Amino acid sequence: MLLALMNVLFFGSILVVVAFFERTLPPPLVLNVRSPFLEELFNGDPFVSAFAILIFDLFFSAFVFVMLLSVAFFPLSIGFLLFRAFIWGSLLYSQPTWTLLVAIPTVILQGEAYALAALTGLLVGLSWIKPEWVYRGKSLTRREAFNKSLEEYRMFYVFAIMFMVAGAITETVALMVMH
Amino acid sequence: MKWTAALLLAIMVPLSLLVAFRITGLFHGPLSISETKVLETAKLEVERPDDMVDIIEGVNSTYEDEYASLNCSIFEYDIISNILHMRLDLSVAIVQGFVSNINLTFWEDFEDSQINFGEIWQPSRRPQFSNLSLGDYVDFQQERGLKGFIELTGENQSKRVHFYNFMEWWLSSPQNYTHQMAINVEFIYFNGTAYREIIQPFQLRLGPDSNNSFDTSTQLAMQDYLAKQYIGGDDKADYYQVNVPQGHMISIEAKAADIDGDVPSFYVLLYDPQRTERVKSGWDYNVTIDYVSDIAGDWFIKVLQAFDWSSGYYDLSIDVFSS
Repeated sequence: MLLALMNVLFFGSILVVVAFFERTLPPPLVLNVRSPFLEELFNGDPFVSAFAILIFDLFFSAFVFVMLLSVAFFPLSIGFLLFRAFIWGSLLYSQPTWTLLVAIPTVILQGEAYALAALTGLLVGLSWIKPEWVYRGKSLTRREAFNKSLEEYRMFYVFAIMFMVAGAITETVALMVMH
Repeated sequence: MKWTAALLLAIMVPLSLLVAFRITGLFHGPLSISETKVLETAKLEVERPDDMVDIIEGVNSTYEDEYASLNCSIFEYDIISNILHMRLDLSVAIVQGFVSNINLTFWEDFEDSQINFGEIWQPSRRPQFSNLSLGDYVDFQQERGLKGFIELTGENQSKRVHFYNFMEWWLSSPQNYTHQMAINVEFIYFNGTAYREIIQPFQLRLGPDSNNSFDTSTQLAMQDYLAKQYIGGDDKADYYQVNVPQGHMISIEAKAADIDGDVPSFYVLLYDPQRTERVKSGWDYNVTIDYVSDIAGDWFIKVLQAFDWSSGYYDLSIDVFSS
C-alpha cells in the first residue's frame, strides 16, 4: 500500500502541477515541436540515446538523488519524488496533446521506477533512524535494522532498474516518433 | 489483489484525468500561432560609397491595428574598412495580452559577407532591452542564406517592449559589388485568446550606380528629385537625361546631401540632345543651373566629381517648366 501511496504522490502531483500551470499561466506558445526531454542531447544513435537516458535517469536521478540521499535522510525520498513529478508536470504542460500522448508510456515506466526507488530510500532511510517504525515488535539495533532493510528491500531497486531500462527504451522510441 | 488494484488506480486515475482534460479542452495546453500577417517589405536602397564615407540613411516602418502597433527602423551610418555600421530600433505596444517573442533573421546570398552583433558587448554601444531578454543569437555565419539571428523573449508579460541594437554588416566585397540583405522582424504576441504574429520584412540594397555614360544615363521626369546620389572612388560622374520641349526653362539644383559629413565638390554640366555641352558650372557643393532649351529632345545632365579627394552624397532636383 505504501507503493500505491508513492504512485499517488508522483502521478497525482503531475496532474496537480499541470492543473496549476493551466490556471495561473497563459498558454505556452508552440514555436516548433521539440522533444521535451533533456536526453535529446544524446540523440542520434538510438542505442547511445537509450544508454544515455538510462544512465541519466537510473544513476543520477533514481539512484543518487532519489534513493541514496533518502537513505541518508528518509523524508528526502518524498521531496525528490515530488520534485521529479514537478519536472514532468511542467514538461507535459507545455507539450501539444499528441506529444503528451506519446510521452505517457515513458511517464508511467519512469514514474514507477521513481516510486520504487523512493520507497526503497524511504524504508532503508527510516530503518536506521527509527528501527521500531520499520520493524515493529523487534528489538533491533540501528545497524541490524539497516542491514536487514538493505537485504529485504533491494529487490525493490532491482524492479526500479527494470522499469528504468524499459523506460529508457520507451523514451528512445518516443523521441524517434517525435522526430 | 487489493494492493495491485490500488497500485493501478494510483497510476491510471491521475494520468487518465490528465489526458481526458487535455483532449476535451478543459486543459487548453500550448497554442500555435493562429494568425500571421506579413507586412509590405520596407526597402532601403543606397548607392555604395567608398570606404570611410558617411551614409546616414534609414528606413522606417510603422504598423497599427486594433491589437498592436509596431515601429521598426533600420539606420545605416557609414562604411569603414568595408564594414557597414547600422542600427536597428524596434518598439512594440499591444492593447491586450503580452509580447511573447521577437525574432530577427538576417539573410544574404553573398557567401563572404557576415553580420556581426559583436557590438552587443561594447559598453558604449550596448543594446537596449526594455521588457525583453536575449534568448539566443548567432552571427558571423559565412555562408549563403542565413547570416545570423537574434531571438528575444518578452519579460513579465509586458505590453510594451523596445529593442535597440548596433550591428555591423561585413561586406567583404569589391566596391562594384551589389549587396542585398533581407531582414525579417517577426513579432509574436498573445492577445488574451490567441497568439498572433506580425512579420515586417526589410530589404537593404547597397551597390554602385550604372549611370556612368550618356547611353546609361538615368531618365528623369520634368519635375523630379533624387536623394543620396554618390560620386567618388571609381564613380567619377553621374549622367541623367530629361525630355524637354522647346523653349522650356531647365532648372537644376545639385547639393551635398549632408554638409556636416563628407561633402562632395562637383561640376554640373548640361548637354543638348546632340550631346553638345551648353553649360558648365563652377565647382562647388551646391550648384544651381537655369537654362532655356532652344531645341526639343532629351537633354543630358552630368554631375562630375571636382577633385579625387572630394567624394560623398548629393541630392539632385530638376524642374522643367514653360518659360
